[in-house]
Amino acid sequence: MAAPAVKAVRRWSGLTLGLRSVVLRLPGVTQVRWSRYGPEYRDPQVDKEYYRKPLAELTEEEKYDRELRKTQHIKAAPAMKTSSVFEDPLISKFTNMMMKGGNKVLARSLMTQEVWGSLFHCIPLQTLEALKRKQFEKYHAAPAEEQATIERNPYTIFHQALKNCEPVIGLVPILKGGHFYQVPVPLADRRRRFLAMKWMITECREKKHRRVLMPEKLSHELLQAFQNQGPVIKRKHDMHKMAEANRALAHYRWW
Amino acid sequence: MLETSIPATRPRKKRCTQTSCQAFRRPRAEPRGARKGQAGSRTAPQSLPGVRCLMATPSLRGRLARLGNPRKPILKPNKPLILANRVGERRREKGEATCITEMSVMMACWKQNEFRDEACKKEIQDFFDCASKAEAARKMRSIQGESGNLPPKKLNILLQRFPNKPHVS
Repeated sequence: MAAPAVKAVRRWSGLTLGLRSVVLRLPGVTQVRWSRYGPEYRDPQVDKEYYRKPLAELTEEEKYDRELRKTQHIKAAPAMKTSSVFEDPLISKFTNMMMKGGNKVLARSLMTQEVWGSLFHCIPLQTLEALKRKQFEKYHAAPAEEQATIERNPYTIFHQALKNCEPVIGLVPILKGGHFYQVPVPLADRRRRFLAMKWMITECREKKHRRVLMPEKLSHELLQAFQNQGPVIKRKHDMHKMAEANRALAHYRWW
Repeated sequence: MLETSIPATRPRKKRCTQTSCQAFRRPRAEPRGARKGQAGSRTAPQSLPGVRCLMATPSLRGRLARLGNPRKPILKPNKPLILANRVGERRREKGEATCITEMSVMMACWKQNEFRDEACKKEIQDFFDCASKAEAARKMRSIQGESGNLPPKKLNILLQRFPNKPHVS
């Protein structure tokens, strides 16, 4: 399907089949955020359950997929992706969004448990640990009937809080007649998840006292969002209210 | 070769004033703004909506200023009349907003329940379903491409490889 000229370039450059050669070369323009993998490369399958399935249970498609994987090129798995049971894609995404200047170590330590052991005498409170501690305190303080309703797993609290923060409808500026109008528009799933995480991180970074640490503030906001209260939920409601006010402009959309 | 849409200069026919003449009392059928051959006029090509109408190329015979041509030039092109090695892009289809009804139902529910999401779960789910269906339909349409003709981008690639030959070799 590719033009013969492009294929010839690939052979001449001596690179292995599938790696892209530099195509665009303009002065003063550097291509960033590009992949050295060609389109035929597949993503690696890190999920152990995929391989544990017995052969008898596989459908035709899955059998075909397995056979195909044996012959196709597969990309290298990124460093942060593991087959561990403790890995959570949402937590990884959130940690990456919290990261500043490539300091993954700091972001990860703020988020999850990282014991720095002998170097420090006091282990700083991390977000998930702080969540768990707060919920356990509540649990032990509460009478027996209420104990069943208190959620103590920090992962479920995290997931539910972010799900509660996701906006249902978004606003998009559309140019019409020389003016920009905020038009209500349905959002894709990934955009909604991104907005929820972005709002949470922005809220925790900006609206706090300077002596309050990030894990403390984050755990507080996550707990509030879990109960459908707090500033992030308020921001989501503000977005919904604006969309409701502008519902007449919905016809400005063309998709 | 027959003269087609571009008329040569001809003496104007005087309007017939006889009462027996059909043109005397015939009212103007066309709206004032429509030009000949354009949309809305009597001479516009009548076809089904969506079907590309194919018009014959207007003739160039005797239109340009050349040595053998005795009359005044009709056309004075500022570029040479040679086919370029690219075609124009397809005009974007005028789309319309999808899922308006689901959105208004959801917003009515919100107004009643003070924007709480737990009270409007069903409406929100309907809205999401509609949005995903619209997205899938749009993707199918873009993958399917054009029925019949090649898309303009592929045509341009083809024309680049096999360009027009303005000379005779």
